[in-house]
Amino acid sequence: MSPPSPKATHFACHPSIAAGVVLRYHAAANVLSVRDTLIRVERDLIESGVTRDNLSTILIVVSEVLNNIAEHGYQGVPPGGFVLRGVVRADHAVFGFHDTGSPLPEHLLAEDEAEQLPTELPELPEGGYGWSLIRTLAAKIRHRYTHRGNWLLVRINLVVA
Amino acid sequence: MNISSQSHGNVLIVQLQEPRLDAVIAIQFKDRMREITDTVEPRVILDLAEVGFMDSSGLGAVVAAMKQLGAGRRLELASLSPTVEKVFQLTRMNSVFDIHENLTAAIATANAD
Repeated sequence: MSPPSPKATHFACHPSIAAGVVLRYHAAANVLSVRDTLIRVERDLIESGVTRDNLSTILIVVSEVLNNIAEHGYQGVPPGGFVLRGVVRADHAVFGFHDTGSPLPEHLLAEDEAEQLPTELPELPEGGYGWSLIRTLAAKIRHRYTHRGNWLLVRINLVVA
Repeated sequence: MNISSQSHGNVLIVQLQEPRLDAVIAIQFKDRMREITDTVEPRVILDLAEVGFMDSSGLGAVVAAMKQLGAGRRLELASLSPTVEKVFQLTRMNSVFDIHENLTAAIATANAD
C-alpha cells in the first residue's frame, strides 16, 4: 500500500448494478476519513441504483470495519491508512479492506455461539457492537495477515428486488 | 454538534440535528446528553428524525445516555430512519428501548400514561 494520503482518494465505476459496480477508496485511517469515505460510498451506490435496504446493509458493514481500523488498527504502531475495494452486484457485494496496522485479532472473526449481547440495562455495554453487526450481516469473512498488513474480505448477500 | 432540548411537562424532548451519529461525534453526544438531561423529567425522548445513519459508536453513546439517566428515568427513541432501525434490530436494542414511530406518537404515549 502506498503511503497514506491525508486526503481521501476514490474511484468509482458505476454503469449499472447489473454489470457490477466497482469501487476503490484510499484514505488515512481516522474517523473523519471513514465518515468521508462512507458518504462517497453512499453517493456512488445510490447513483448505481442500489436499493435503500441493501445500501444500509453495506454501509453498516463497511463503516464498522473501517472504524475498527481507524480506532484500533494502528494503536501502538505508526499511523497509516486503509484501502477499500468493492464490487457490488445485484445479489451480492464483496468488499476488500487493506491496512498496514497491527494484526486483526482472529477471535473477532468467528461467531461465538455462546455470545449473547446483554439486553438488561445495568449490564448493557457502551461499545463492542461493531463486530457483532459485521458477523450478522456478512455471508462470508476471510482474513489474512502478511508482512504487508491485514487483508480482510467480506461478502454480503443482498436482497434482489 | 447540533442538539437541542425542550421540556413538555414530565417529558424532556431532545432533538439531534445531525445527519450521522457516528464515531466522529459519539463522545461529544454522550457528554452533551449528560448535560442536557441533568433535569427532573422522568421521561426523555430522543428524536432522531434527522439522523440517517448510526454506527456502533453512536449506538454505544445512546446506550450510555440511557444508563447515565439513572434509576427511575428512561430514554425513549423516536423517528428512527430505516438504517438506524436496522442497527437497533440487529443488536436487539429494540427490545431495550421504547421506540416510537415519530415524536407526536411518543409525546401522546407519554401523556397517556
